[in-house]
Amino acid sequence: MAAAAAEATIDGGGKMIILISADGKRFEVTEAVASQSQLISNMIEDDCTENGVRLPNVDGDILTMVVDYCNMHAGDAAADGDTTKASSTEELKKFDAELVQALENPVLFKLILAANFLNIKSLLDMTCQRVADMMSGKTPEQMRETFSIENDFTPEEEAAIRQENAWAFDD
Amino acid sequence: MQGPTTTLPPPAAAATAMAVDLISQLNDDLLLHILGFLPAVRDVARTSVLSRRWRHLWSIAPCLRFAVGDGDDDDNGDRDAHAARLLIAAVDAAVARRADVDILEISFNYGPSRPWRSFYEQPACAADVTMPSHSRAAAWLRFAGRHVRRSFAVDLPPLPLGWRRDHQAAAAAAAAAGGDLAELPRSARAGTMRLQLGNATLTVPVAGVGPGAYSALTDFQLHKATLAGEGADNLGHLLSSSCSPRLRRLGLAFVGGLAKLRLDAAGTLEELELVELPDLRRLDVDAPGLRLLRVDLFDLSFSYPDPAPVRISAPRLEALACHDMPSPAPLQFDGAAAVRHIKKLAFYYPVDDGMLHNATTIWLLKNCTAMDHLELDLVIDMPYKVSEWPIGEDMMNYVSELPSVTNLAISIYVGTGGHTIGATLTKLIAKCKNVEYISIGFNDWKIRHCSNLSCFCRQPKGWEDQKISLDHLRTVDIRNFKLSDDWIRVLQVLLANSPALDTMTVELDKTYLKEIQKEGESVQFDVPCSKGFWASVSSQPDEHGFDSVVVKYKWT
Repeated sequence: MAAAAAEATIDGGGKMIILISADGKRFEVTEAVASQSQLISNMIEDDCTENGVRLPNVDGDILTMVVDYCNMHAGDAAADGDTTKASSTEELKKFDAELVQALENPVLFKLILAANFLNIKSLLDMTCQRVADMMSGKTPEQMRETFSIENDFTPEEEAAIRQENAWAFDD
Repeated sequence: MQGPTTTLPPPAAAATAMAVDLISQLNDDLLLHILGFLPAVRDVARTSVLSRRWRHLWSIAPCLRFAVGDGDDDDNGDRDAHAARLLIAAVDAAVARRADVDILEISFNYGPSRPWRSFYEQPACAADVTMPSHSRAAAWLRFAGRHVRRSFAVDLPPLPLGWRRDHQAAAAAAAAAGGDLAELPRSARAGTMRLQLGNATLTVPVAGVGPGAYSALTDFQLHKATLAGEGADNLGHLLSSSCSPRLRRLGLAFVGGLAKLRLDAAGTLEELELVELPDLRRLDVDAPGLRLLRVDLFDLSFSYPDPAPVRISAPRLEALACHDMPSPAPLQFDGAAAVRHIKKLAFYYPVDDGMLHNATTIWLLKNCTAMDHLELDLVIDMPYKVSEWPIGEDMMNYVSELPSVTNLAISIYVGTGGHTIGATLTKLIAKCKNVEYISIGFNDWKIRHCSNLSCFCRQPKGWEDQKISLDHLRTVDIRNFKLSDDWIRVLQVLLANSPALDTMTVELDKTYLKEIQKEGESVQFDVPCSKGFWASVSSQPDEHGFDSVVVKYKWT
């Protein structure tokens, strides 16, 4: 990542890359923006982005959000440790907070899968944190309801598991 | 919600979408990643009962944060004690069957004012929580050494024993009983170790800890422990560059049984904190990369009759906080020249038993020639009987000029009563010719000022009319102000001698205001000034929603 970011900085991030979603939507982004994805960054290093990067796992809707996110965060990695950009850091925080608040099933999970596939750590952490926030402090019943998880244990099995970790279920 | 450009689907479609269990379709790695963000291990364990898909995840979760008492600040003694008992069992169960974890945190820190409460306000803690948690500590620390990959933090409830001398007896008793003494975890993998041991006895490994024994360690904190056994003085060696080549932050606080600390720190060490090490008699520190040093070593400062030899080499030091530092005679300290920020330093009045300390303060003020920020406490604590008040002398007479200081923060603490502070304060401020910002916090429970007109605190005569040069002073903030003649004169001196002054804010003391209001009087804030004017600043409701009694005045 560091090498790719440095390269992008040298040529001003001017070189463009085409990203193609599963449903054929095309997104034109700079190398600097795209290389926040470790996957694409590796492809840039290997010189195999000439004909566009096909992302068969990512829908256009989700890729729109990913590209928005990467556009906002471009230069972030390159300017690592640069504290003079305080105002834009504030803006970024606001953007992230709004994005994450708006996320719910099923977009949230599609975004997690996309961030994982594209290997964008900050986006993956942010979305996983959001899921954890939705679980935190809830009873198992509430967690099941939140995420539509079907309980496939028999009552006896469930009771036995609860017994094993009784400390965690004692309200 | 769909993508940003599509319209919302009809309700029926939305309901269908919601009914799909997407989370359970994520792979194990992603689910474990999510579980790693859960703040309490309780939540992680609860997922084991969601469905078969989730059954085994809890037992391989990479981050385990066991904590009692998080969430609110109320003192829920019984409930917390119950939770603590459950937690001990949970930690034991996890430690007994688990393989490696990335993060292990075990915290019994409950009661208000978490997480790092002062040593002296120990929470009441049920004995059936304290003793079992301590009896398990050795096993938990051993597990940490073997199985924690990144970060280990433990915070035990305090053992009910007196501090300082008692610990030796306790350590001897523990050793005699052949008990399983906790040993400092050995780990070449952990990056962070924060051990707050609630006065537990800890042994330090000697054998089997060669170069690189703590090769990943970047942050090490040891608080409230008593070192025992022959390894105690080996602690410095383990935290030196050969064993801990990556250490960045190091803190030792309230650690007994440590007589000798020889630290030959790695160049990476940036922050060092040494606080209340009651048995320390020899300190020798080389820290070529150190930026921040906090020293609070009362016993080392006052070890009569032989002052303890102390050497601290920190040529790149930028910030220094020291409340109790060894006196300059036995002190070799080469860090003064680069210091920009003194975060904590104090003068004590009366001076007879504080002289050693004051000598260090004077020495530092003289030698920290590059400092631009100075935070200085003036601590005035006179005997209760006024007739026993000593005359004393003003330490300010020994303080050199402080032309590099641009930002001056003074806190004044008055105990049962004491000297008037105006003349002393003015002397100090006059030494800071280039000061741009001054804040003064008064902490004075009773105004019972020295009335001896020949006392140093009234000298020199006519101090309130003297000309001093504060050409660069722009802002003054005053907190907890009371309308005493002495203090008002300080404001007048500042107003009269600061041609560039922009604003002065004065916040009146809450208790003082309440007293005045109780007597049915109102505050007459009237500090004369030849130019500018005072305005009262609207007060905000305080955190409890009451109309704040804080009254602020602003001069512009």
